[in-house]
Amino acid sequence: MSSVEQVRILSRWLEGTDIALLEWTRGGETITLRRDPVRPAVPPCHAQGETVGAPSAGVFRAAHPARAGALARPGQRVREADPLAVLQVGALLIHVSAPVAGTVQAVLAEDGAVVGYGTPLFRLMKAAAP
Amino acid sequence: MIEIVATAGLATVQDLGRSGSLRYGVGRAGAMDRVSLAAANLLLGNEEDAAGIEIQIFPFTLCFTGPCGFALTGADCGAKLDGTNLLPWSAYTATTGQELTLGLPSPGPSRAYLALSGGVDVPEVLGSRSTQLRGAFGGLEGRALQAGDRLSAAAPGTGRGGFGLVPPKLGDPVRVLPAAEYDLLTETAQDLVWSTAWKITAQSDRYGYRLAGETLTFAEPVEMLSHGIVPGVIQLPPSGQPIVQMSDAQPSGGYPKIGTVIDADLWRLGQAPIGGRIRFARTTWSEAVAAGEALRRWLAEAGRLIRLQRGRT
Repeated sequence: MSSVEQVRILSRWLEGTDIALLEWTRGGETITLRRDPVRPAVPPCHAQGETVGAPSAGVFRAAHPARAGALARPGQRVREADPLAVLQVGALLIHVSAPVAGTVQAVLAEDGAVVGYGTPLFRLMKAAAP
Repeated sequence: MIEIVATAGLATVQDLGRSGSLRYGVGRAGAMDRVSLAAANLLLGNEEDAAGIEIQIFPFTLCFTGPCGFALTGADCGAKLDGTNLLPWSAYTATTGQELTLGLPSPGPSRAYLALSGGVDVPEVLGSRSTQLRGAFGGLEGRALQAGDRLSAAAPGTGRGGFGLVPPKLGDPVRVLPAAEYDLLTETAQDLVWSTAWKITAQSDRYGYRLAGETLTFAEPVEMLSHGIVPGVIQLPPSGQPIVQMSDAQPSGGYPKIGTVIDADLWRLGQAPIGGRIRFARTTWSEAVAAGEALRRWLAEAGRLIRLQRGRT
């Protein structure tokens, strides 16, 4: 099967799902299909911000069940690798971490929403290099 | 793999306990909260009964002297790895030189568990790596950890980070089976066992919890010869204030026994903080067995989801 054919088949599978990002690896070849996310309504000055996508499918939890309050709120400064939220799959909690140090500009997912792999969850304004 | 930088005391190497040696006069020892230790091990792909570190006085700081996967469960101590905030009940990977700090626990469970990839590599004694403080063997030289101590992980490179588990609910009350001398209590005392909110006094530790509350009395004085006891047994000394035997319980005692905390709830008692209050709820043998099975199922399902997640990363 040619790569073009594979892309066509994978695209057909993706139609009608809300999967935003698909990675297909076979025999050392990787195909990545990314759906242009529906742009959330944010002011243009936020456009340079970094979008944090869901590292997995799951239920978006803004707070950790052992802790009160959201892990990351708009305006909050975070360090690289700081936890922003968790995605729940049964008893499992998959971490959503800050890819860079910066300031949380917007939370793009509703608490309790089912999100797919790659769904945009946060917009971060990268901290200026020290 | 790790070096203890600072400890406020009483942190010990523990696994799920040393079973089968009561006949030699050797108590079980093992983690006070065996569910948290088992879960920490599962998070790293370890066997559930691998040895970890039980931390009960904070702060606690260690340094990774080599790259290693680790998991934290039990109390949420606002842990940080080189300043980065960590979530409780989660697996992470550390690189050489990184420092892990655990601060004071937030309200809830009181003991934290640290697992290392492959388990803490100390020699097995009588089939267990648990520290037996009374006998001064097991764990690291049979004693609590001190600053400067170095410990190795059995398989440091096998850790994957970035995920955790929903912590199981601590809840209240603790389920108890009436024991041999329960029927010898006065009727009033029998009612008080279940209706009292028992305070966990400061004289409580890994050996046992001394409770304070209503005074329980027997209809007639009860005198007994020493007999075998296990963690979970609730004794009634002449003071009328119960004692619950915990992980470091001696293998024998002479006080009458009024109840036994069921195995499936002992971990929750092991997490109860000093000064807190607990209630006992009467249960039956079949309920106790079902509760144990439910706990097994929860761990099995957690292990299944973790294996899937570890396979992805």
